[in-house]
Amino acid sequence: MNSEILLEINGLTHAYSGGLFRKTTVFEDFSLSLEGGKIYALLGRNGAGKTTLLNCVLGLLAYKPGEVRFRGKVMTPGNTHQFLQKITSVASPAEMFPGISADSYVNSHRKIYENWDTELENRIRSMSDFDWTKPIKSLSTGQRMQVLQALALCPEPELLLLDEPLGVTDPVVRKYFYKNLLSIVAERETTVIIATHLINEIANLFDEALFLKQGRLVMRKGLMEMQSTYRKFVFGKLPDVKIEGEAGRLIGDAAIISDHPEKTTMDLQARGMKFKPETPSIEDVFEAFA
Amino acid sequence: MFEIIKLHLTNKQHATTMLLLVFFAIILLLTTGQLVLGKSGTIHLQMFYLGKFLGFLGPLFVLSRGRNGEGKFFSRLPLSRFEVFFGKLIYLMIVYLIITLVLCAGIWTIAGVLKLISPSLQFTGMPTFHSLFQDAAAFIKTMPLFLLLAALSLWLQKWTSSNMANLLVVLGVLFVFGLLPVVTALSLQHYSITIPFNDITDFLNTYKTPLITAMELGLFFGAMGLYRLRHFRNY
Amino acid sequence: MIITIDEQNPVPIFRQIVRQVKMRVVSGELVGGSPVPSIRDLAVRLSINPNTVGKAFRELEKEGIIVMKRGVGAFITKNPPEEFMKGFGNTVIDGKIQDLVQTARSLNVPKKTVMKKIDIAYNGGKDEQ
Repeated sequence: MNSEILLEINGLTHAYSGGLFRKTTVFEDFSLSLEGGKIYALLGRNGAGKTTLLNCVLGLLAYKPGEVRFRGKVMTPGNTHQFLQKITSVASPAEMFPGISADSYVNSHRKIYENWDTELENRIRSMSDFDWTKPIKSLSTGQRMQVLQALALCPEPELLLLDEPLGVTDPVVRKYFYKNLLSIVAERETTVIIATHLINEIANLFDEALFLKQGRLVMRKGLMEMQSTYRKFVFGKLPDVKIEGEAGRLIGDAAIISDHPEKTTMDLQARGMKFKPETPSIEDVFEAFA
Repeated sequence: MFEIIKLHLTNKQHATTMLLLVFFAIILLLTTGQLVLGKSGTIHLQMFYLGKFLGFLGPLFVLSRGRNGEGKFFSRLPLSRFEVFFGKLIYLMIVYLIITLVLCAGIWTIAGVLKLISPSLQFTGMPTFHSLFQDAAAFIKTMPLFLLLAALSLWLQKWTSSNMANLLVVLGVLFVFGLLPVVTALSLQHYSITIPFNDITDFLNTYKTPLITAMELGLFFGAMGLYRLRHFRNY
Repeated sequence: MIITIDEQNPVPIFRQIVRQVKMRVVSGELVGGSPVPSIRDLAVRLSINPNTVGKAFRELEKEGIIVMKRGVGAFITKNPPEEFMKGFGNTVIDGKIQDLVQTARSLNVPKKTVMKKIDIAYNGGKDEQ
């Protein structure tokens, strides 16, 4: 098992300016360290800082103070490009040159990167149903995403940063994207950070979920740990008072999430309330904490 | 670096061809007009001197991520900032060369064909190697200042929003231009505080060129507002 | 070897895999020496994290049901532990009986009826009496 630290973020602070004197802080003294060979789900509500965090790691956004280390080496503005041989990301389709064909994109990337997995490239091509010699502007957003996926997966990255990598693609494309992703993860122990709102889709994929809330890491757990720590109590009607062990409420489901199931059970029995305990889904945990 | 140039060239292939066709259409239209209406037998073949124009809009392209976020796309690649920068710069030069040379060749061809048909025709305004050289020099000379200004704005964006950074650079430029005459005037008139009216007129005459430059600057920053320089590997 | 997972089932996926492999070994579908799919193949086929499959395999190896050979893959052991071969069936049946009894009780189906139905099921659906 590969369990050395791959990525380390120390004391990262990022603020963006809205004007000369107005600054909005997204992260303040944020730290995180991730092990190699694992899949991490980066989860959080809109505006929690998922994209900002990934862009800081990629060097697309500046941070001060703070430090990002990859395999122990500090990334600086001057050397970021060397790390980017091993850290890839799926760009947004809007960033693509409209006049260039998918083929030219792939060919130029193949030359820019030191390694290139031609077998994977062919597999992605064979799964696609469009003409790669056509310019990007004649492809649909979903088809552009497929090109971008090839560009991010084929350079044999050690760290893959995926920010909503599937956008508006159809279920077949999604399915094979995950399968390709899993095959490279299993083969090369690639570390993946995947930020997405489609939590259920990745529930069986990640080793650990990182819950971000307003720029802070509020929870870091694997699915099994989550489901053994927390329990969902469903009611006919939500209790008006805070129940013992209650960690969060799912108002729509008339349920609570408890981090002390025994205490909660006892409290509920003492109050004479009817309830049904359940194993929470990842979406339940997300709603309660993120 | 080579890949960046190639990607840009392929991307803008279509646009460049269209631009050239438009220029040719204008040249042909003007020439035909002069042939039809002409009385003197002299045809004025206007060359498009693009050096200055590309010289001050080019830096925007070099430093910005552009409307489509190309800069951001390149920032994800394992290419150093210098490779991206010089790649774009060289692309810009190549485009300038292609457009200028193709237009010249076109004009020379048109003139040659007309001369064959009617040898008595005279031509003015023809591009010569000398005028081409001057235009190229203008291109090279205009670029650094605007590159510097765009870079300055980009650098300021580390601390403030892109619009505010642009504004600060504009104010800075205005300040320098505003201060220059005052400093000059003061140093000229060191011994007498009163500035006669004639002196002011003289003075404005001297600074005609800076005024034109200021207008150019205005145009540049107008365009800069449309583009966003952010996200070019934001350090 | 076909392994499937039930995403609705709250039982962790790695346990589902362990259990399915064990069932196939005890039923004789998988004999000693037969190959087990690679971690990568299984992860890709089931669309699950390779580390989850790895965890299941390590558990099976610890219990002496499979052996992992570096670079070659995993195989069913020639002689699975005796107590596992004998006990596993009972463990599974115990769980199922618990479920059955609980359901029968909550639906007020008498014990006699349940027993009779079990007899019928054993006789291929025919009532002996």
